[in-house]
Amino acid sequence: MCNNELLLGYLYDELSPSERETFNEHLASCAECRDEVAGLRGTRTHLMSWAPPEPDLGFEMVRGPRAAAAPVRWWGLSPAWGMAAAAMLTVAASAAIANVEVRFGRDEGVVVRTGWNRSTDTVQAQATQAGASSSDLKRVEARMQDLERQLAARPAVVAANTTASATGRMSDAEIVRLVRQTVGESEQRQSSELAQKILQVSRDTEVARRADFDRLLATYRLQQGTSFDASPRQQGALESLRRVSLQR
Amino acid sequence: MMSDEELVDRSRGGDLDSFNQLVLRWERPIYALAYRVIGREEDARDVAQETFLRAFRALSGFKGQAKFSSWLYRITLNLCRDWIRRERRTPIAQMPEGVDLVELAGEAVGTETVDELVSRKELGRAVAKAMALLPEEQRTAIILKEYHGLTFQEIADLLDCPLSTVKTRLYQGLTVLRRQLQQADSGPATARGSTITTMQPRVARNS
Repeated sequence: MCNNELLLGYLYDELSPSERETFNEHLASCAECRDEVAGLRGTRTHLMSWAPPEPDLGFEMVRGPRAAAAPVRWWGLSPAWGMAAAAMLTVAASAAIANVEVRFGRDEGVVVRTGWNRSTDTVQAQATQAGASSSDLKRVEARMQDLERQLAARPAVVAANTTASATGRMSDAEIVRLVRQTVGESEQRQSSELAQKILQVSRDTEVARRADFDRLLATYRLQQGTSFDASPRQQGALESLRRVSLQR
Repeated sequence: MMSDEELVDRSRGGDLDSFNQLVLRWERPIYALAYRVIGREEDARDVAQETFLRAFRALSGFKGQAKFSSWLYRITLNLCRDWIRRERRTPIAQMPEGVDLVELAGEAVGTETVDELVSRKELGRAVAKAMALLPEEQRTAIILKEYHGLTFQEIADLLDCPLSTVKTRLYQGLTVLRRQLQQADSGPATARGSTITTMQPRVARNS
């Protein structure tokens, strides 16, 4: 007698030895099941040709946007770097509000991530956590409160425009939710653009920093009037300075 | 190499590097799972990212009652379900326009000719389409079985349903796929007969 569960177990090699024996005996006498097994094996082989894309994922958990400011000491070395540092801190602060994660990775330079969460609720929760000091957030809040006031003032109109709920109060809630969602989506868009800008600034800064350091080394060599080979100790010191400066 | 469980223990003690090792180990399978369930690259990436974020936050609640990977899979599937509910639509696998032969030639593996590769790509697209048409439960069961190698019991545990239900879903899903893919083979592009001749010897070899 044909048994689909056994057939499936046979197909995926998940039968006990005795079940396997039983099913083998059945297969010997049942052309229908033989055909089924062969057909489904073919289907399984077909399934293997569906490969997912292989994007460069590189996910990494980081401790949060504040990590961007702390460990970067080399910015103090030259006025130009200092200015870049100040600019980056400003951007990083905005990024914290806009649900963007920024950090300086050990090997890959500045890492910027956006859209950890597309859920509007979470975006708003995180925005709220970013603090009331944000003027952006205050503006958004003020706008929403304004909208809520307007909606509360006109319950009849709202109720007339909705079929979803029985009371005007619930319609308000529904519309406020939609407004929040729209605001959330707009924030998400902004955060994505911001991330692009941050990335650009960080690349520019990185290039400038390396060039400046090379110039610094060249100047030092000129002043010393000697080659690195002549002084292993100095060379070691400079190399270690270079390494330290390149660490982020 | 440290086991997942050891890395989980360390992560729980606040060791971010250990958690990032787990991320590195599992980001591809998790992304692949999300991609195959919801069919959209960008959204699958978001789901995968969110999976690790949630896993990290909930790490203290993970008591090792299941494998770490199963736990991750469960989070991913929940997020995929949320996504499907939110989007209120059947996932549709992205179908890239045309086939870039140069790019394909670079991807050719072993003795596979470009012709064979084109056939495989086409077949892959046919599979993606057929999978997208399956009901979510059947699709999920097949994905976990075929692409992640879980046992029937592991799938049942993961989806909180009886073993027999898992088998039924798998069998029904496979049966539908078999029919769909046979149609795809004998469908409009009769030239794709080459696909059949390419695939069949492999079936024979693999079985």
